Order: sequence, then structure tokens, then C-alpha cells
Amino acid sequence: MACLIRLLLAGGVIGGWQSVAAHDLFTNYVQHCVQLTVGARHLDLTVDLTFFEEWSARERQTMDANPNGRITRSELEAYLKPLAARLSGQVKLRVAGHELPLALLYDPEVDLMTNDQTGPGHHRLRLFYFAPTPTTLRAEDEIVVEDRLWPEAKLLGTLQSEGHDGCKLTTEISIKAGRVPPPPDEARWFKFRCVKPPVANPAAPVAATARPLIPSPPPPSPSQPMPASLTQPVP
Amino acid sequence: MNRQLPPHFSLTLLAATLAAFCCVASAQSADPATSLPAGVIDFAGRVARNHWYLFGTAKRTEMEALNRELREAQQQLDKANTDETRRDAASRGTAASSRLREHVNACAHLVRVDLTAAHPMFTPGGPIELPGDTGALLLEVVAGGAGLSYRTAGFDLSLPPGESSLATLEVPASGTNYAVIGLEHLPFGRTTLGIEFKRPDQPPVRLPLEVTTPAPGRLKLTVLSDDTGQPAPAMVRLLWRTDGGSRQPGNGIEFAPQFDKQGKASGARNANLPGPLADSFWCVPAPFDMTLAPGEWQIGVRRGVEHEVIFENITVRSGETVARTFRPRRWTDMRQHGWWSGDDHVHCRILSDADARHLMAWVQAEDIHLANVVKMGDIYRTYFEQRGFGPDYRVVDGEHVLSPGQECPRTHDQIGHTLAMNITSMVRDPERYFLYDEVFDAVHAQGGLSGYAHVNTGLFHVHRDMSLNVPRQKVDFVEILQFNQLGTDLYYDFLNLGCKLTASAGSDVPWGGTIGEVRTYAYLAKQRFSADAWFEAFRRGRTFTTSGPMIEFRVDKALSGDELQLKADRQLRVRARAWGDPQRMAPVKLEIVRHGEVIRAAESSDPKHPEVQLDFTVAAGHGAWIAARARGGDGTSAHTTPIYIVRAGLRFWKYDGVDELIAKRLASLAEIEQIVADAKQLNAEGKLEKDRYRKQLALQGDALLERVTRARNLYANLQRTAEAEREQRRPSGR
Repeated sequence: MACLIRLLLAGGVIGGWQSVAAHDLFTNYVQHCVQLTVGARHLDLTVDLTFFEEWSARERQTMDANPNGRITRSELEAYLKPLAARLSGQVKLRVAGHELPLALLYDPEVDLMTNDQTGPGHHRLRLFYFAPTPTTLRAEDEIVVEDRLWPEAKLLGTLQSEGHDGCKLTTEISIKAGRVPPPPDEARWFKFRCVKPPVANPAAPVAATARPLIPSPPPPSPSQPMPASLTQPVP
Repeated sequence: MNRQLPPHFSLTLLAATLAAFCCVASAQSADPATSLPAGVIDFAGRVARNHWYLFGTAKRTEMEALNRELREAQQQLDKANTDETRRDAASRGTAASSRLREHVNACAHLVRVDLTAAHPMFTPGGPIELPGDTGALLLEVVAGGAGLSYRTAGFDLSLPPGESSLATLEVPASGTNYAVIGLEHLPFGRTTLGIEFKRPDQPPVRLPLEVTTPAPGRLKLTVLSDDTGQPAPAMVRLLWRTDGGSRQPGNGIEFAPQFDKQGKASGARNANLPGPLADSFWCVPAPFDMTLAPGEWQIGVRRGVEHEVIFENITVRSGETVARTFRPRRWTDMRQHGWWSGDDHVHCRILSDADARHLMAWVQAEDIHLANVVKMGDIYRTYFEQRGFGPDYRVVDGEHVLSPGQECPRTHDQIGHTLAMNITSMVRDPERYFLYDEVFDAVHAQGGLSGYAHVNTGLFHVHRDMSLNVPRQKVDFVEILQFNQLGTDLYYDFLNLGCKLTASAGSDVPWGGTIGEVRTYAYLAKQRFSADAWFEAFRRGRTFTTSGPMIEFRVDKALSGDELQLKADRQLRVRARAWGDPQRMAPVKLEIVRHGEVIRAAESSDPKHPEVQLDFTVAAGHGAWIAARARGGDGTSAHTTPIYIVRAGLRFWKYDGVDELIAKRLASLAEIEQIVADAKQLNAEGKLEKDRYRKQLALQGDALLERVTRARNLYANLQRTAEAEREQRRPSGR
């Protein structure tokens, strides 16, 4: 019942706002930016969700636990803690049809975009995942991200990919942006194709023993030359 | 200094430690042989992502590796279904956890406190040097007895307002706890923090801790125009390597007041472009001088797609000034080829000279020559007000023009959004809001240009009104590129029906990322740039749209938007060239499209020279539209307006697809009939008194249905035309 009450309250607020909505353009959309980085040892997947007005208002309502109209840092933390677990099954990664064990790389992050008030705004939620790169990865293998995040929201989708260790990727996308949302159990598929698999890194992965650690490739640094990333337009 | 702190600083907080402590308590009761120390994964993630500086640059990758190792071990533990696999996973996790603890214990920044001592105190006692206005404390808290746990927390010295230097840390009742506490909004110099430790069933222990931050340095930054060598507006990003957060440049323009609280109402603009171009950049109108925390900084400078992007690392030292001048180099100068850039969809209030000055700086920073600054309307009201319309209200600065236009009418659940350029007054009548053709006619009567927004994604059911008014030649252009998404489904459908449409693109800021992230180039040849010349070239269809690569395209001597009239079939020479920024767009792929099908394609092979050309002949056949499109290796796209090949007596349509194409349009018309019928029904039942859109749709429904009837007749005529062309299109008819 508590959940139901909260939903109804949120709906009331949002409904009231909608009736005088300034600009419905994209207000009920969530922009999904799916970024895949493939290296010899790991596939890193970052999903950036930009919530436009209506969905941001709903999430902000949820964040504002006390609720006094202002989202505090403690409320944000409390919002994020269960979020990671709740969303854990909503993103899947398949390589050549085989699901990889996707794990969180970091805690989710929220950027309220300088607006800590409830009500319509924009905010960005960033989710970090990773999985070991399968040794069976071959050229022409399809890498598919199944995205069931906020399935009831309309979606704008973009893809970016980046290959390390000699890996090259192309991107495809099989979602229809801006169209009627798919049924809740239907994923949006973001597809990448391996043109050239990464060259196996001779360094062994970090071992469970106390032997010296072999560092993984450094995190992507924006100071490096621009990556050969690809963003596939939505057809 | 307005700081855009890294997200973790927005998220971590001491109050949340209670939740983490619960995890600690429960984990401590778990089987230590098959579980990891409580909180260690969060700790490792926070350290690896946000506070790696504590361990030094050399250890960064190692901390990252440990984070992954711990998370994979935890995942294995969660999935283990035999004792052996459980032991293996636990062993792996324990090893990584031990290694992490070794690093923490060896860390020069570690501060210890023994709460079991008679007089607990920090060791070392301080002051603890922090790197700048943000930083982190790494603590070892001994509470006595066995147990090992980890904590993460954050503390903002600006909150709550006033004297706010007390941080509360909840720790387990016993054992050793390692905590990393992010601190933000630290003053310069010396600060006395109060750190309060709370343990279950014990009185809190509050200890003072002196922290210091170094004196800031200064950055003087100038961006020069590659054309003039003089200071010019630019898009600038300042990123502090230490915390991964960016800062607002000293004179970065805050556009929020001009955005009517709409969209992404901030001056920090994240372009819908690949890689680091999507990070926050600010419009900087002129050179600036500001203080920055000492350390490594990355400066990013952009000046629109024709310029190379600069990322440079600098070191700022306490008390010293770093001066940098950047001159982003043009990798192409489209003006020299006769092409001038525009953005057909910019929302921004202009009610004062200051408003105009701000927006002009942004337009110049993104190297856009013509911005269609659209006042937006809906059935209720208008937004992004303008001082007026027409040439008198254009804002001109050299070869950059802000030209007021409109995005109205706009219906979201009915028939789509429209745009108008070069108008002399806004056209809006809520009582006839659904009769878009009247607006298109009025705009044309003013000498303006009409079009549809968001056609690339087919948003807001725009296909419905397109089905009414495109075949009636009521509109000039459609947006096929937005948010770096090239979408041609609807565009090709109407071209394939033999309808001419000019390709256009608009950023739609503040919903879009930045002005000019997608843009429309209009061909002025050797004509001097002016708004009027640009609009005239656009009206002729001499355009291409792009988010990255550039295109030149001709069929014989015809340019985009031109019509080649042929009395008989003959060979046509198709020439096209696509090229991109060597820094980021290789390889560039070029495709020639006829009736939506690729008839020739090529890809650049030299990674340092992403340029590709096609030069071939193709038979005119019975006529066609032919366009060029390109794709950069970074995922950016470009697309030209077609060249129309018209055989005498024939439409240039995709003849063998006409039945299907018309069927689609008739289905769209049926959708209009249905929404009108639904609205009328609800209105008759008195259910629309709070829904002005559908109320007006019901009231205007008959007039709209008249237009549907006209459109149906038009499509019936097209079917008769197709029948009439059948004989001429037989093979012998060539």
C-alpha cells in the first residue's frame, strides 16, 4: 500500500504539472547512451540515462524521501543504494548469443544538473558494468546489450563503442526511438559487432594469490587522442 | 567558482553510513571463510574511481584492478553452488582484499585513530594536507576486538549553510574499520574539522582534525580564432584530474535564465557527440583569468565541427600563474567551398542586448553562421520570447546571424511539431491550431520557410501531418538529423513518392546538447554571406546536414536541391566527396543513395586522411532522386538534400513501391480520422474540459477532416498517375 500511495502521489503531482506543461517535447523520454569498451580482459559497459522532465520529476519525487521539495545528499545516497540491486537484472550483455556475467564496476552515480529541487528537471543516472572478455570472441560476433531500464518510458538511444588492444567494433541499433514503448518484458537491444577481436593480453589476470598484481589497462583518459568510438544513429 | 563536482561528491554522505554499518554488522556475522570484509567492494570502487589520488598515479591502475577483482570474486561467491567454488571465490576475494589492505596501510595519507585509547587522537595529528577544494580522508579506526570492515562517506562543507565543519562517521562496535571520506567545498588554507565517531551503545567520540588546502594557482586562458588570430568565443572544459570533476570557467556563460527553465537549463553543455566531446563544456566569450586548485588539469577547447578539438594537460602550481593560448586549427573551411553553416532549431530567449550577446557568443563559439532562434508555442502559450521578427530583429555580428523564427504549431499526441524560418511575425492561432497548412501558407506569404521538426525519429506523430501537407507542397524542409541521430525512414518515404524536401538539422537546445552539434550547410557559392543569401540557398534545397563529416555532391552539374530535367534516358555522372576530421572521424564512409537504396559506396583507407571520393556514371532511367550520405568512424553522420532526376512526363518517384508508399500515407490519414473521431466522442461526453489539445481537436476536427479528404483525393490522383505512367515505363519506353 505504501508503494501504491507513493505512486499515486507522484502521479498527482506529475499530472498537475503536465496539464500546464510548458513544453512536452521529450518530457516523457529517457535518453539511453550505451557505451561499450572492449579490451583484451574486460568489456566495460556504461549506461548513461538522461531523464527528461516527466521521468526526472518522478525519480526526484522518489529521491525526496522526507519529502520537503529539496533533494539532500543523504536522500540521494538512500535512493542509489537499493537502485543498483534493483536494476541488476535489467541490463544484460550477450556475446554471440551467450550471456556474460555482468557486474557493477562502480556504484551508480546521479547528476542532478545543478537542480536539487523536486519537480520537472533533467538529471542523469550513470550505471557502470563490466564483464570478462570471453576468449572465444571472434570477428563478426554480435555483442548485444539488452536494456530493460525504465521500459515504460519512451526512449532516445545512442551507442558508442571503443576498442582497446586492437579490437574494432561497429554498432547497430534495433530500437525505434521515440516510438511507442515496448512491452515491459521486451528489451531494447543495442547491438555491436566485433570487426576485429582484441589481441590477447599476455599479462595474466589478477590472481587470487598474493603475488604482485598485474595492472589492468588504465581507465580511458580523455587526455588521450580521441578514441575511435562509434555512435550509431537510430534508424 | 561554480564547481561541477564529480558525481560521487554529490552522492556520498556521512548520514548514509548507517546503512553501510548495517551491512557491516550483518557481514561480520557471516562465515568469514566465504565472505568478503563488509563494505570492501564499495570502498574499492570509491577509491578506484574517485579517490585514487590518495595512492598516487602509479597505483591507479592497480586500484582499478583490485576493484574489478573484488567485484568478480563477489559475483562468483553469489553464484557459487558448491563448497569448492565457494572456497575458490572466497580465496580470490580474500587475496584481493588483503592486497587492498596492504595498499591502504602503506598509504602515506592514512590517518589512524584508536577509539579504545583513554584519549583517542588522530595519528598523525594533522594538519592533513588535502589537494584543493575537494579531497578525501583515509582513516583507520580501531574500535577494539576482532573484525574488519570498510566504509565510504562524503561531507560537504557548504552544507548546511553556516558553520558546518562537523562530520559524523558511524563505525562498528568493534574491530578495525577503514574509511574513505570525500570532502568538498573546502576553504583555502587551514580548517578545523570535527570528526564524530558513533558506535552502537557507546557515547560518541568527537575529535578535532586539522586539514589544510594549498594556496590556489591561477589560469589565464585565451582562445584565438584560426581565421583572425584574435581572441574568439569558444567552448571550454576545465577538468581537475585529482577528483575527475569539471569547473565552470571564470566567465563561462550561464544560459539558464534564457531557457525559461526548460530542458537542460544550464550553461554546462554536453554535446550529443562521441567520446569526450559529450562532456560538459561552457561557452567562454573571451579570455579569462581564474583561480584553480593546484594539480593536473585538462583543458578542452572546441570551436565547432570544422575545427580540431584540443585537449591539453596543464599543471597548476600554488601561487603561480599558468597562461595558455589555444588556437584550434580548422581541418576544413567550408566557407571556402561556398558552404555556410546553420542550426534550424535553437531555443533561447532574446529580450535584451545582454541576451543577444550571450547567444551570439555561443553561436560564434560553435562556429555557426545562422541560428534560427525559435520562439516556441503550444496550444496554451509561448516560450523563449523574442523582441520581434524579421530583418530588423536579426542580430548580426560579422558573418554570424541570430534570426528569430518559430516552432509552432506543436502537438505532441496528434500531428507533430513544425518549424519556421525567416518570418516577419509569429503565426499562431489556438482556435485553428491543428490546421498546419494555414500556418505554412502564412509563413510563405511572409517570405519564410516552413518545415517539420524531429522527422529523424518520427516523434510526435509527425508522419500524420506530413501525409496531409507534404504532397501538397506546403513545406520546404524536414529535420533528418538531431541529437547526432540521422533518421531517414520518413524522409525517404516522401521522397520516394516524388515529393521534394530539403534536408535540414537542428540542435533543439536546450533539449539538445549544444548549438551546431548537428547543422545544416547551405551553398552560397561565391556569394557573400548574409542571412537572406543563406535562406535563399536553403529555399533552393542546396543543403546538407551533418554532425561531423562534410560532403560535396553533384550529378552532372546539378547541386543538391536542383532538378535535372531529361527528355530521354542517358548516363549521368555522379561525383561525391566526403571527408572528416583526421583526429577523430576516420574512416569516412560515403554512400550514394538512389530511391533509398545504396547504389555505390566507398570508404577511406588512410587513417590520417579520412577522405573518400566517388565518380561514376549511372543511367537516369525513368528518373529518381539521388543523394549522398556519409558516416564518420566516430559515429557522426551527414546527408545531402537529393538531386532530382526528372524525365519528361514522369514523376521522379520510386515507381515500383508506390502502392505501398501510398498505403502508408492512407494509414496515416486514417489515424487522423481516428483521433478526430475520438476527440469528438469525448467532447460530446463532456470529458475534454481540462484537455485543451483534444478539445480544440474536436472543435477543429471538421476542418481537419476536410484536409484529409483533400489528401485522399491527392493520393488517388497519384495512383492514377502511376497507372498513366505504366506504359511509358515499360522497358521499351526508356
